[in-house]
Amino acid sequence: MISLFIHKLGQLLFVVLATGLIAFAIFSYAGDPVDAMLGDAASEVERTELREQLGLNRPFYLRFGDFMGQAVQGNFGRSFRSNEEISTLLVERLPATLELVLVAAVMTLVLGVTLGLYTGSHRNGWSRFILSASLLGVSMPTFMLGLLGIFLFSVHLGWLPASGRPGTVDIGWWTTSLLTLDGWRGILMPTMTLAVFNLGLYVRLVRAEVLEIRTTDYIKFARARGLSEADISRHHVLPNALSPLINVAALNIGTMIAFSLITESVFQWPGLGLMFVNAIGFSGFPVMAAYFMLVALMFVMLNLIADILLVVVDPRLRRG
Amino acid sequence: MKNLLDNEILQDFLRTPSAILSFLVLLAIIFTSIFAPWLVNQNPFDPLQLDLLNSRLPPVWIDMGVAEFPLGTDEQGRDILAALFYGARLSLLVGLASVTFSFCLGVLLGLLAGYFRGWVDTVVTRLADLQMTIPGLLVAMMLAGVIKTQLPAAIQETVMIYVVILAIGFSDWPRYARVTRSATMVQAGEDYVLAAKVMGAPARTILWRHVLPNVLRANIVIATVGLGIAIMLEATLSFLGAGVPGTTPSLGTLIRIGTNYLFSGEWWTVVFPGLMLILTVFSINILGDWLRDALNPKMEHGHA
Amino acid sequence: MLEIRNLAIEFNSRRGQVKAVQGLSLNVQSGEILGLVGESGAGKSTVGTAIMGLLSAGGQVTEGEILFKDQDLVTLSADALRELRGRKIGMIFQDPMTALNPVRRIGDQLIETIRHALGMSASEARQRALQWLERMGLPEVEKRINYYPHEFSGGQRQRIVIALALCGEPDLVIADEPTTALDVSVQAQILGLIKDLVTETGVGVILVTHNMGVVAEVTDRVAIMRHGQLVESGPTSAILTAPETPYAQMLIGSVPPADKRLRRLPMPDESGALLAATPEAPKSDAGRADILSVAGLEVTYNAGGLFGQRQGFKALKDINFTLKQGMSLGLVGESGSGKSTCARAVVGVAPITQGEVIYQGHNLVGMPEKERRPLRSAIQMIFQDPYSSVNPRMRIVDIIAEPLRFYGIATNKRDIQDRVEALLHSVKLPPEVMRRYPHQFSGGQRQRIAIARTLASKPELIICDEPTSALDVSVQAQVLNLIKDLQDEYGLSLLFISHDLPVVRQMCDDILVLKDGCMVEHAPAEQLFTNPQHDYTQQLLALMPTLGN
Repeated sequence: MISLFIHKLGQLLFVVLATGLIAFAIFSYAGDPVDAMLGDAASEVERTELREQLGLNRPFYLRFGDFMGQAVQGNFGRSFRSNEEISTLLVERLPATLELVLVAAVMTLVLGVTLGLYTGSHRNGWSRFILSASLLGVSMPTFMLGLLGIFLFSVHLGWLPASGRPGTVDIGWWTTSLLTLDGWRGILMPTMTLAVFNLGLYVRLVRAEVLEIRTTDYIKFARARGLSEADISRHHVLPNALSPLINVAALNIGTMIAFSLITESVFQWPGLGLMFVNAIGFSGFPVMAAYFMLVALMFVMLNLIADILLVVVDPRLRRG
Repeated sequence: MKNLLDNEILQDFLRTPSAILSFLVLLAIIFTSIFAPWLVNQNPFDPLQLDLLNSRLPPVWIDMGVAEFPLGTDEQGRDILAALFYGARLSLLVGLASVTFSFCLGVLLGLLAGYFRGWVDTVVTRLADLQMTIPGLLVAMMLAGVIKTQLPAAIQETVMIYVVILAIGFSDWPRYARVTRSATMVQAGEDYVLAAKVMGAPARTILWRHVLPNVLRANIVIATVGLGIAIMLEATLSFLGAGVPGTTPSLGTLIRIGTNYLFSGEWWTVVFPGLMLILTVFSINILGDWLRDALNPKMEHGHA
Repeated sequence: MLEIRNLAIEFNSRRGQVKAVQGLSLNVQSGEILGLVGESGAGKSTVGTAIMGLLSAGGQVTEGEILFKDQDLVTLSADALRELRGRKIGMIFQDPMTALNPVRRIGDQLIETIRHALGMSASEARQRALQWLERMGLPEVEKRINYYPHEFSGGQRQRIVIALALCGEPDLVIADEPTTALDVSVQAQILGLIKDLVTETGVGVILVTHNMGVVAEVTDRVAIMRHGQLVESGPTSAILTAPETPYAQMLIGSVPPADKRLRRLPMPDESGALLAATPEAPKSDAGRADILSVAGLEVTYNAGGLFGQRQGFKALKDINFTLKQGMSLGLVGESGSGKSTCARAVVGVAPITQGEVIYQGHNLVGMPEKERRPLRSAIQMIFQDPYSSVNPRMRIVDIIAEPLRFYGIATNKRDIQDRVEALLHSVKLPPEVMRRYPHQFSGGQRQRIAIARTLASKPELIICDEPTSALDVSVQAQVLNLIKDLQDEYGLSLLFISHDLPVVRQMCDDILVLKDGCMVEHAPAEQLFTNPQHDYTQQLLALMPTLGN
């Protein structure tokens, strides 16, 4: 057990290092930040000076080592444009993205599991409707949904705000918008936009798993012993479904973290995703690299939690 | 298809109205994409044919709309209807090309990993896992964005579409590789592969003649889903500004342009391309769903 | 207690309505074991599931009655049927590896069933569960009741399955191939257990099986099914010694006798007449040249690692034997004995770490592929699973022609077609078969196709790796006869691998017994069977299921 944990931790380190390396490598070769910072009018001398100052002339491995060393301490340097500390920027933006993802995730998981279990166990008109709706949901690009939502609820009906994150309250270093009514009105559309696609995905995946389980021998045997369908669903189907469900949930939340990029762009939601998209605009490579690494870290931690939960849920994984 | 099994699939297709309908819709979309120049008067990709005087006209059934532009025009004077057809063509092309790329790369790596195991397997699996922790959107964006900055401005416009295809294609190969790898491992354990080994056939012959035909089936469903994803990904990238250049707008680019006018109530540049996009992907998904059920051996009696 | 009258069951499938069972009538009394026998597709399992009311989707009873204690199960409501399951009628499933819920403790599964069937309190049910586990012969029941299924062996799991099926104290039990997935030694124990339970509790059992040996061992009466219909039924001893209908005669005749070697198994030939069951003696090796000799053979899997530190697993240790031209050598053993590994070593697809494999004077171990290639055409292999040994995506003609093309024996289309036709003829398949695909054929036919492929390169040595273990008994008899025909016609030398001793007696002149990768005994066939030297051999012979009980 412990060895498994250490192994996973090692994987975590590996992924973070690898993404850091890739991010840093690509961004350091991808463009000249000096140009972006000084503009065309700067002289050659000024450029060289700035390069020296930023340490851009040193060999790659030194720069990378420096970068990683700093990164581990939470210091990503400064944004090229605003000259803010990137770490501050990250801390500032994190709550917005996390809350968005969290609310959407809860919605997706709860509804997804319920609807998935239902459609997997019943073959009626409701099931077919839910499945068609989920298929439609998976066919709608997130940004499209967001735009349609804005068009309908903001422009036409004026019920919900079209952009920004209203109604925030500060708690320590965290800002939350979940404590005010305004906050909920503001977060509603972005979360629904984020959730719809993933809900559709999740319902189908859960259903597929449930169907798979229903065809197993042990379910047939349970029926042969006269157990009721309700008992079978509760004691035999569900416990076996947890394992794959956890795996898929981790994947799903990860996808939502990535898709929050789009949602934040459409709704101008001040989170990490919007920060990243803006950074693309001004070639802010340190910001982009920092975002990348942070997101990779989140994914790996998600997987780690999922793996731990799996061991708890599935006795076959214990003791090897 | 001479195989009797495929005939059964055709039978099943003819019995499923949703599949037939979505197939017809797709056929219509493909038809309009191919024959667009003959169906509409304007080529929205050709700046010479655009007249700014015509810009921002509403659809014909609203005040100020004209019959010449039945669905209205965008800010550059592009006929929305024409743009739908040309844009769909672009979306489909990019989608198909990137899926082909993903497919070839993923299947190749999956075959090698599943058949030879050992270090090849370890490397491929690690790479696939690594890439799968990062959702395709980010990978594609990163690739597209970075390559774009490396290109000299002159050829940027013409080359960008290939970059987008490459980026989207590269972002999805792990799914094909995973499926192919498992299927290959299963096939490699089958006796007919052993028979070929006993006969003395070299690995490449075995892979090409025996393993590959038997793992293709698993990839078909993945590919149809992948096509829908690729089309949506291209639209998303174009919407975010990291996709195809604005002079040859895909459906996503149109939507991006239209977003600026959404608040003043000029909805047609957003809604029509959006609906076209959703319709295309939805049809692909319905077909993909049907295909998956039709190919599933467990669904013998029409239901599990 | 149970009476079935004129039962008919149909299934909806993609290809239309399929009649699975027709006009079936039989009955079971308390305290007796009725064997329901048939080959695959006979409908025997379907009858079992129909009694339980658990026909898979698309299946329904179209005619007849199933009277359980004078209640017709066919007309009962779904709820009423469910009440009966577990409490009055129980079912034992075939595969112990998949029949138990893997994420719940076996105690919980037992207690749940007991409480549901008998309405006891939790503590009472737990006591009862413990009693059942003890009765099943499981050790340390207090501790093990909290274990999960994967913590038990296959045989133990099957006992738990039986406990689960019986803990509701049903009057009728349907056992669907309860020992097919188990090793021979475990099989005997489980059958004994079932027999004891019947004597103790007076429960009635329908034992569904395709194995005549099992039938002979435990059943009181037997009913033979074919294509969904009842062919013959009666007391077991009567049926086995003097079957009346031709099908029954053929079925029982095709079981390889354990006590003597026949020239051919008594199957119908082309004209339909039954071949005579004439005994024959094994071949002698006088005056024959060596064709294959193996010396000091050792096979190790998974050795090496980056620095050579992994020990690996020695699948074969120090194997020595010689096969003479035109004879058959049998390799016998249980699963894990290394017999298949030995076969693979001879054809060059196993990691040989020591020893020599000498074919016609050439040592195949360590030979470079270029030299080996021409020799490969002379050594071919027939595999166990007919569903896996041919590429499902290739036409029959291409499957059989592959060696012809590969070894350059025939290159132009006409020549290939002629040769394939000839090969199909020698395995008694018509030429029309060529253009079709494997899934259109039965297991037995596919095995013939595989044999035709094997013969394409005109081999001299054929390795048969359990070539009939996956086939129905009558099909097995046909294939075994065919192999013998081919051996006589082409003067083939055979290395015959099997776990089935009566089959080995039929086919082999010399026998080598393997256990855990080592040679245990090596003797001429008759001598091994009549006067086994080693304990292990004696054990194997004792466990051999025979009809002559």
